Amino acid sequence: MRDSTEEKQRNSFFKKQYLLIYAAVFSVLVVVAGYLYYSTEVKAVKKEKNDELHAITKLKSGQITQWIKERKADAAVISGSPFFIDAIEQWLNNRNTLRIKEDIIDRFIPLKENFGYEDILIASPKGDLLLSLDPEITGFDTATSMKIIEAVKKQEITLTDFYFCSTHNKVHLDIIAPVVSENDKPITVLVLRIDPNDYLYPLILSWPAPSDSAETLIVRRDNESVLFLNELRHRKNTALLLRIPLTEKAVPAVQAVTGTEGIIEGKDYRGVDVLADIQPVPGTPWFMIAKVDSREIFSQLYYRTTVTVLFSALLLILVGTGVAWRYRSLQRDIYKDLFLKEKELRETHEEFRTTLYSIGDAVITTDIKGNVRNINSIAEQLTGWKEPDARGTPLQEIFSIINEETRESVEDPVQRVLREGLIIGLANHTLLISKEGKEIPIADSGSPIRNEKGEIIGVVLVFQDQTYERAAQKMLKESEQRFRLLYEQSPAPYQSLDEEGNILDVNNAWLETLGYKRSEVIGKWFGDFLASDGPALFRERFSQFKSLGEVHGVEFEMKRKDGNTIIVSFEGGIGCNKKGDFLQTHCVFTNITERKRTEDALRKSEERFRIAGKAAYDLLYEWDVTSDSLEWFGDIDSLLGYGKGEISRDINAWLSLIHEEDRGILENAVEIHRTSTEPIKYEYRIRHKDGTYKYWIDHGLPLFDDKGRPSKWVGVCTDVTERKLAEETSKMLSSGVEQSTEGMAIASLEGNLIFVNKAWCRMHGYKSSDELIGKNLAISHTQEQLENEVKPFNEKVMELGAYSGEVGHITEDGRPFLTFMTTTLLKDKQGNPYALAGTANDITERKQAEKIFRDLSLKQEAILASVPDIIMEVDTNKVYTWANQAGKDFFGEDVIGKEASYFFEGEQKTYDTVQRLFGGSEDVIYVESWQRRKNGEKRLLAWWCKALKDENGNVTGAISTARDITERKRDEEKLFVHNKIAHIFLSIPDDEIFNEVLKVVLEAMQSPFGVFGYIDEDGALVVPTMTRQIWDKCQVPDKTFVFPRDKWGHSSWPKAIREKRVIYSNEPSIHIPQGHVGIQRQISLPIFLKEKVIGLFQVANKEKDYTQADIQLLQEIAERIAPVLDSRLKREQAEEAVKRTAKEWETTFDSTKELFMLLDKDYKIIRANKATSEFLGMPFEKIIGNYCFTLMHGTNEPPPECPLARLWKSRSHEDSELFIKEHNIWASVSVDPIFNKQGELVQIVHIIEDITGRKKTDEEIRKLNEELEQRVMERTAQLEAANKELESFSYSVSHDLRAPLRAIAGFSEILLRKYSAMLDDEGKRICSIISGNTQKMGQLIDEILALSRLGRTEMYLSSIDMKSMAKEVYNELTNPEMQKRIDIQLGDLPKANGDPVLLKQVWVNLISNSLKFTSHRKRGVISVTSRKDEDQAVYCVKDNGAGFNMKYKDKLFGVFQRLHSEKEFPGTGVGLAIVQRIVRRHGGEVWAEGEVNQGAEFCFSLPKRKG
Amino acid sequence: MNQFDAVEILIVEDNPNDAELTILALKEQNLANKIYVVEDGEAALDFIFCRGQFAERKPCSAMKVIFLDLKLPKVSGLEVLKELKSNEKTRKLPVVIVTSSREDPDIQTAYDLGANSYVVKPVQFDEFRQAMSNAGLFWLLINQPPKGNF
Repeated sequence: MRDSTEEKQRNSFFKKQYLLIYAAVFSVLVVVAGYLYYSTEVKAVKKEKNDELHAITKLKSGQITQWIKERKADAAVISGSPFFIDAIEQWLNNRNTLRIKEDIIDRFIPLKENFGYEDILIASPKGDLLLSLDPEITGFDTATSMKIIEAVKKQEITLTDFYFCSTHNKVHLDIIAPVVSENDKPITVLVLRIDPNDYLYPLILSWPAPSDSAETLIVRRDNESVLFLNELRHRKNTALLLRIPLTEKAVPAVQAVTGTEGIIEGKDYRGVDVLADIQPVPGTPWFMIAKVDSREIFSQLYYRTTVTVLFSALLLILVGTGVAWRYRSLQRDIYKDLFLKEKELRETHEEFRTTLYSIGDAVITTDIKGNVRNINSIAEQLTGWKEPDARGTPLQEIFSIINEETRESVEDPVQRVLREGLIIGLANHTLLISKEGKEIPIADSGSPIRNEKGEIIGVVLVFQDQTYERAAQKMLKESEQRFRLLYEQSPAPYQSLDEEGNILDVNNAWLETLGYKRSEVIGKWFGDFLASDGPALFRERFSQFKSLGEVHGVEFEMKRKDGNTIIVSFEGGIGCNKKGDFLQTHCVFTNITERKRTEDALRKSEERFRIAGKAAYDLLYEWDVTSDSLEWFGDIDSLLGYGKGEISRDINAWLSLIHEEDRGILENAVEIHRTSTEPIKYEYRIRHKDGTYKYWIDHGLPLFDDKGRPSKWVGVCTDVTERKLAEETSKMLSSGVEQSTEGMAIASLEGNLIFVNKAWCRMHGYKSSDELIGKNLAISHTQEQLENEVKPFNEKVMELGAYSGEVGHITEDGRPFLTFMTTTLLKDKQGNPYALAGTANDITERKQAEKIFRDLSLKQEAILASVPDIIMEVDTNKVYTWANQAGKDFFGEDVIGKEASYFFEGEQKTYDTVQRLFGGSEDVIYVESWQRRKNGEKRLLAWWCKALKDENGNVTGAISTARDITERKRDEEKLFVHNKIAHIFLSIPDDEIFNEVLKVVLEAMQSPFGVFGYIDEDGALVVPTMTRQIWDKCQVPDKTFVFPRDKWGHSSWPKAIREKRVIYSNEPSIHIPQGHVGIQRQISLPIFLKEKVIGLFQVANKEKDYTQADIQLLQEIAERIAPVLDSRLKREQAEEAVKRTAKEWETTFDSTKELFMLLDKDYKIIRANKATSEFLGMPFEKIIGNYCFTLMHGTNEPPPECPLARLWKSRSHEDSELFIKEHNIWASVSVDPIFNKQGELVQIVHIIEDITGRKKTDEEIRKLNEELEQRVMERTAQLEAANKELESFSYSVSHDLRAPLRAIAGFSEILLRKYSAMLDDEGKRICSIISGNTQKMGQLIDEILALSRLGRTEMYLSSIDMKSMAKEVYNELTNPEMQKRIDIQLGDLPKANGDPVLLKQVWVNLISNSLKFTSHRKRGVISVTSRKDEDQAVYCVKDNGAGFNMKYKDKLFGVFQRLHSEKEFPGTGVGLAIVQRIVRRHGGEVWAEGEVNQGAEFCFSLPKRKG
Repeated sequence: MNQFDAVEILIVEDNPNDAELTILALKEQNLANKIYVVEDGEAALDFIFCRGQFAERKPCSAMKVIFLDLKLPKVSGLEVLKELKSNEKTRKLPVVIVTSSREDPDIQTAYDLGANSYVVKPVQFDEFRQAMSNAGLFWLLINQPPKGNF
């Protein structure tokens, strides 16, 4: 994405570059072209001027030449006229003949008049004046005389140069023509004197085209200067007076006389730059110069230059604008792209941040260099760094970690991630050293952040605080060690076996009991420590044990190291891993050797007592050695409990009945006694059918065969069972009982001792039994013991037949000791009691051991008491039997003896879990349960419970350790709540969010009721959710979701919002409306964002009081929620607006009478409005999905006239009016495509409006219009015809009346000019009257035409500044001289709307009138004023002139009406008529007021035009 | 040599008074000796294209300007103008329209057809003379006709 953006930017950058280059190139082209055009223009203009100047000089010099030629011709004609020569000759011959002189003069006068000579003179060939028409001339100057003489000499007609005549004080020119007599003799000289001002100078000066500066002049060289011969345009009195020295080479005149010809540039006599053309005038020393100021040329050029520059500038501006526009659009594209990317990035970033900061784990992200980029709040807490400080810092500084055990630094995980590019987990036992130096155990993992190309651009590091986990582990470990210690120190021998039965571990008690060292035991097979058949038995039972999992009371005989054996009873179970696989056994055993032996001894002695009274009888037998038959004499069958004949006569059958211990001997005996003659004498046991054995004594004697070998044995078997038993008893009495370590005694019912054994004597401190036999057993008790212990004991014995219990004794020397006695009442065969037999064990030592053990326990207890964890012991009834100090601190000193369930906070689950322990199915359990502390506080405890079992494996209770994990749990809970809320905001649709969040909050706050609302744009509280029950139970009459601010009242939540603080109470609320659910206790907590309340949490009716912790939790939730809620609200508001717009649109859609349809891209109707449905008479279901043309026209495609058909091509708005014949309506149909962002057409808005009615009206209007138009046309035609007529009339007037007038004027003028000599004064006057009247007639015609034109010409209206117009007119009509005489007062004139040309005419006429009529005044006063009415502006021109008589005011504005004589004030009488015409055409009026000789005021009004 | 061979100015004018006045005005500028007057449009065209009564005119060229009145018998001034301006040979020949009135509606048409300028005949002879001489001077002297014309 970044790449593509860069590429785009690069592209657009290139585009921009090209754009600039194009623009620059184009600009240069424009400038160059402009310059080229300019130079061409300069050349062209110069060329044009040059040509013009050249043409003019040529023309002028030609004209001058021509003129000279003509003049010379005149002179030639006159001088050559025979009549003239004749007359001259006559006159010369007789100078006094006046007639001839008169005659000559008479002839000369018309010549002079007609040809425009100044004077005609006659001179003598010597240069003397003979005759002049001008009587003032009396002679020639010398220069002329010289010329005359020269001309006479050459005999040719000569033109003199210009010369200054002092007589007339002006410049003259002379044509000198010698008059030659018939014999070629010069007789006289004719001088035609010419005033160059008459013709020549005007000729020179006249310029054929209008020009400001152009002039033509002639010069000639006069010594070292140039002399100007004519009057100049720009300077007066120059003819023959202005000289410029030849040194001033820049002056064209100088150049002319120094030989330059043609076009030159230079400075003229004024020093002004000029362009000049020089031509010599042939036949004269003159040079014709036509020149024009460069400025004028350049002013023309300047205009073109300006146009060129403006045009170029315009082009440049266009290019500039184009470039700027293009640049802007490129820039806009870029910015738009940038904006979109930025937005996307921002959203992603925001999402990332929200996620990052709502994660419960600590998160740090770094860049590729390992510098921190982001760090969330958990990470801030753990590291002690704040994000702003941390950003950019190398990770090692912030995230300093060491190994928990070695305390060596651990490698920076980021470096590892960067190196390996893999996700890694940190080593265990890692400690984070925070900024404050705190060590925090953590578990973490690092993961590379990759960009889209897969390159690593950074690392994200996630870690958690492991303090609690490590503590729990540690505690577990400690607990294990403690239990291990317990085992180690336990007096009960403990062992653990592996799967094979090899010893894994034993405790000290075990080693002590068996006398081995640990090294001799560990790893050995347990069977090796068993005596006799023990190993086999163990092998067999061990597998059973493993499968059953427990063992109780299994007895083995074990070998001690010293060779003795002891009998032990095992209790135990197996340990499994979590999968249930066998790991090891855990067993303890009890040494039961003593007990066993005692029991054996007791049993034997008891049997012995039962021997008496048993009758004995013998059995006779005969054993045939050869046949091995055994013939019994006597009922052996019944004797052994068998049926008759059941026992075989075979000797083997007998053998088989013999006790296996004895059988070998007897089998051996059978073989021996086949040959031996030794009498048989054996004692053996034989089996009774009931399985008991009888002791038989077998005595036999042989019967010999002839060889002296025994053939038969005859014997007798005596059943000695009873005797044998008696023997055994006595034997016990004598040895077993005697040897027994237990003290034994028999006493008469009276208490006289009959028998005591050694142990008894020893126990009591007597040397032999003799000292005691015959004595009363009271001798061994104190009086107190007898009373309190012996007597009740013996009573029990008498009552029960046997009894055990502790009984105190004293030794001979009176030392008391405690025994455990078992006493049996001995009875005879008749059942009469006759003696008491008792055994006594000195348990003083055991008691002492017990004491030692108890001491040991106390020590442990002390240790346990100091453990911060709670340690409790319960019995099987779950009554606490023991507690350490921590336990007492928690539950109270009186905890012992109370049922554990008393402290439970009603969680059946906990009870069930614990039950498994007591049921014996689990040995150790972990459970978390809520417990009530002594102060009533509810705390969460984590319990480790171990079952206590007795030697039989029966559970006797349990020992438990517990730790208060409420805070930790709460933290976890908070985290959980936060995560849950974050999850809700990320994943739950908007309308459910409030509900879901409230659910979570209520759960967290343990509150049944709650409200979660937000503050909307109007400041009202909107509650999209509240606990269902509240809503249902609420009886407030006006239930609402929205609470406008002005109706909040004064309960706690408005207070909380207004005062921006938490309001909470554990007292029932009183500020609740009627019908509201009762509030027992509540928290109202405003949700802040940047100190602005944006929402509200209210929770209520928790079962117990709300605490600070609750508020804190709610506050934290609120803080977490605030930004998310805010953004959600903003989005919601936007969506709300969209929805509203949609709704409005929909309403509009349905309420318009036009048919609206929304089509998909295939022209199928997606939506239609009500009007459509009504128009078609179809329900919406039938409309939707159909094609509109199918419904409208019944066709399969849009009809060609339908705009829909065109839309496909144009892809833009189309509309048409068309007749839908299927519905007989005219419709205005429009379609508008809707495109998606990709520019694909997705929908079409199709609107049809029934315009049948409008069409009809339109049609009518059209018809009416047509009629009207027709009538207007007819009328116009009539008017036009009339106008045409008028026009042709005017034209005729102008054309046809003028032609004769022109002839009259022209010819009377010619008459006056050419023939004035022949007219007398009267004739001349009449001619000038004719001329004057023609002029007036022409004027009249012009004015009539102007008047008639006023009615015809079109008016072009615009806004006019009347004041400046009046001023301009005044200035045009006057010259400075006149202005001195006139006092003009120009008031403020409002602007007018009218035709500027016509209105100017009004001003011209009125002001010129005033000027005219004040011309006789010494001082003319003219004032131009105005006033403004409601709907018109009035302008007045007032003067102090001749005025008029108001009697004739109506005649003022009539055509040709005049109130003054022509002589008095000239005029045609049309001006005011024109004024009236114009003003009326503008919709205004004109009027006048005046008084004779007092002045007049002319006013006109113009209506204000609106718009 | 024919009387109209050297004609430089052709005046087409039916009113002989006006024609005379025109000539007078031009004469004052010393241009009169090369003027020829025809009285109707047909004659004008014949003269210009050297046909009919003017078939002999030689060289059929060297004309500098035509003063053309619009109101003419037979062929009107506008028609003459139209023919002149539509013929390649005579297209560049300067034509000065001479009219009695500034109001003449045909002036615009004349300009559209390619008339080079127009002169209103003023009633006063002085003004008339001035106007005529100005126009005449310009077209005769200042204007350099394109080469190869006639």
